Amino acid sequence: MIKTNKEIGEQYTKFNIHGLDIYVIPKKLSTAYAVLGVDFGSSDTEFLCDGKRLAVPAGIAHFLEHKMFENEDGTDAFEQFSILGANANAFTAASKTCYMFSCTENFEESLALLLKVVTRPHFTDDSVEKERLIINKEIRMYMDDPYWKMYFGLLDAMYHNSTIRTDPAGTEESIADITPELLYNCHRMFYKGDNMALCVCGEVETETVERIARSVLEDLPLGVAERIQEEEPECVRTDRAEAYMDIAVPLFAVGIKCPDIEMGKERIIAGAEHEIILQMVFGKSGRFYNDCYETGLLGDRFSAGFSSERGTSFVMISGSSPKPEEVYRLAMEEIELCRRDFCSRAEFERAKKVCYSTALDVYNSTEEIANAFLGFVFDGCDLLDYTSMLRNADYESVKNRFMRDYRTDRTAFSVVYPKED
Amino acid sequence: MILQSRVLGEGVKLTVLPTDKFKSNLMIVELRCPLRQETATHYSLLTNVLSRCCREYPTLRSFNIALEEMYAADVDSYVSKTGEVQRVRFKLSCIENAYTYDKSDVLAGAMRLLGAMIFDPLLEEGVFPDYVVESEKKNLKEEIQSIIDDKGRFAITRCIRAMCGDEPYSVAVGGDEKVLEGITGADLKKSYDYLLKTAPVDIYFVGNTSIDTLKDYCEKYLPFAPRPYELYQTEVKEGNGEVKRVTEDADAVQSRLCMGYRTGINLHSEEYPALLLACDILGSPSGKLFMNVREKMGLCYYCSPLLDGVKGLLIISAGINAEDREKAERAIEAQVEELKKGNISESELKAAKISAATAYKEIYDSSGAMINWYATRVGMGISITPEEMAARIDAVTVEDITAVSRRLTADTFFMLKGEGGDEE
Repeated sequence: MIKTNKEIGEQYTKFNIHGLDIYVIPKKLSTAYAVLGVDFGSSDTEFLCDGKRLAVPAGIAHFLEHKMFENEDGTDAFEQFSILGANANAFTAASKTCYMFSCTENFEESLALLLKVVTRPHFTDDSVEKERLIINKEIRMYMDDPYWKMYFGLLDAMYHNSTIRTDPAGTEESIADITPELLYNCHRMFYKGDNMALCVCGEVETETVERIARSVLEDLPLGVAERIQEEEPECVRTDRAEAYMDIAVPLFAVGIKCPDIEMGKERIIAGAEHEIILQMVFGKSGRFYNDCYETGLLGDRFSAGFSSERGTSFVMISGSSPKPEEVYRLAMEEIELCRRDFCSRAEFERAKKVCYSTALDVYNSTEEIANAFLGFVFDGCDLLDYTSMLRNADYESVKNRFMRDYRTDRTAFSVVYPKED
Repeated sequence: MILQSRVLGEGVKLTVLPTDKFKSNLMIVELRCPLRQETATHYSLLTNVLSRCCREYPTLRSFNIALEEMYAADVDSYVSKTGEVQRVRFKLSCIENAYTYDKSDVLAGAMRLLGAMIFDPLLEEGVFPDYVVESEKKNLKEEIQSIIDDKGRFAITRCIRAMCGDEPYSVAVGGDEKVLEGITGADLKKSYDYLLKTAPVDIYFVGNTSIDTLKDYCEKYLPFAPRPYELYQTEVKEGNGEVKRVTEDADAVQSRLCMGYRTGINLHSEEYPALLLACDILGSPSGKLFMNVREKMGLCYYCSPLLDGVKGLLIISAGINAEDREKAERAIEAQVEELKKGNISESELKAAKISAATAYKEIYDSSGAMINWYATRVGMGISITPEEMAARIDAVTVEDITAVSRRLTADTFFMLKGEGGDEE
């Protein structure tokens, strides 16, 4: 299947091999980029395995990601990527694990290697033990990151049961329980043809990708494992999270817990409308930000965004401020003000331009295109529809979403304060 | 890609990298001055003041509204450093006119605002208004202090301070809190006048607009007066063979080790391509450091070299447990020693070469990277394309890398010490 968006001059081809959806997005840039996403992330900590409930340690998806680069003969796949001239990497998020590479030559060999890496697990007691040492260092590195602390503090305040609160790397205690057997089980249950997607972007022929995929993937198991998720109440668990670290100025995040959104078209509309709302109400040309800037409550470090993953949807407004409580109070006030008197149509049109330009900017890099594309695929949507969605967003519908989702009784506030000497 | 340039006046040059690959345009107006403790903070504050508002749009809000109406054109100003040179940059980034849905001429509009930001600032009685200056001083102070928020970056900065304390290189490009304290609107106006009158100007553009049109825009909106075209060089020092060990305590979980080496080589040197490969053999994702210090010994999650090709410094940094310092230092030194002994395999050489070749090709995929490539070299008086550099890289032998590695001299081993290790 080929789909085109003539307005922005972009297109892609989609096909399927052994259940795996593959997307090829042509782009005349030197760098070719491929990303394979597995619908298995750090928030998937309980599922049915061979008919039985299996609870796995926090951090296992990330541990698995690290170990997938080990070859059967004990060598490291990074070495093979390097010799091909490809830069390989991987990351684990709440609802997915992604493996990727970029290159300017040897694309075919690199793609074949990526597909082998992801479909041929090999773990030993020894190598798992070694990896534990390294991941412990990674966990300790994140413990010193105040933004990390602020973010997970916010999620922990907002959510009662959702495993989205789980730190992707887990804790030193949780990963102590990870064994090769558990890793094999996770791989077997989730690394399946219809639970993954591959996006390729660059000056690459669709036929080439198809040929490589066919030659490497002789067969892929199918059938998505059933995840066990606890019911999540609509209200926040607690409205405050606090931490103290060695930083200069307090860092804060305000979260607004929103109702979950169905996969598919609803999701893309919701994403577009939230971005427009945030631009209008909390954007750099808005009343709120500028009043705070003029009075010294906010500086350049300020942003607002919407996120939706694995049954959770929330808005986050974050930045640094000498008086974070005051910013929180004013943000709540701003929401109440907008509920009484919503932003004008002129502000709406301007916000659309900003969001459209941000969305268009993605198309300047093969890496950004493929990553964004994969994100949309996992939401059951299509990146190529997004710019049009933004252009054609409807004022009344945006206003209704604001009235429905921006509730001051569904907010939480996370602050990291500087430690007193 | 054919690079085009025009001299707009003495000391003022326009360089265009024409391409239709991107959906947006990028222009960087770069003014260069020597990096000095007495002036760095002034110029840093100046960029904050200028990018906040201008005479025509006297508040941040009105300025931002004007920019957002032009499809969120980004007109901004900031400082950065290359070696011992401070670059004062004015940036314009906007979407290509063809992608606007109301047929706006975004580029012309954004060029006008870029000009207004640089040449028509908001002044009161001939100087920058107090309330703007004081407010931006507060913001800059926060920015300067916040470097401690990122312990990895902070450690590198402290290592450089310990290593090059008496060289201009250690001057913080963003500014110094104490100097900042005393700056007034009148001081800032003097710095502004001096900078605009004397600093060499290079204007770079990447996008799909002809050089003639751009020249017209520049003449109209960026009327820089002629000035001498000067090049400011950076002193490259050789190490003296003594290793300084410095430790600072931090309120952190992890310790950050930074091992600073002097190379005696920079972009001017014939040996630079070999040095670049030596660094890659150490620091690539399958490099000696990753494979040994991380994978074999499990001492760290990251262990990576940072090469400053202008100053000729190499800093290897790693996040470790405090009690592993000696072990980590020895392990990293052992890998550097391997290079000096010439223990470089065929596949290591091949991987490093292809990685460098890839990096050069990738420059053309990013307008920012293209401008930075030329800006760094133009500022030093070097004229070389990424392709020419790639050809030089290709000719490097194991012997060249060995020879260049022998010039690496350990200078300062710095540690930002966090709490203990895994055992607690």
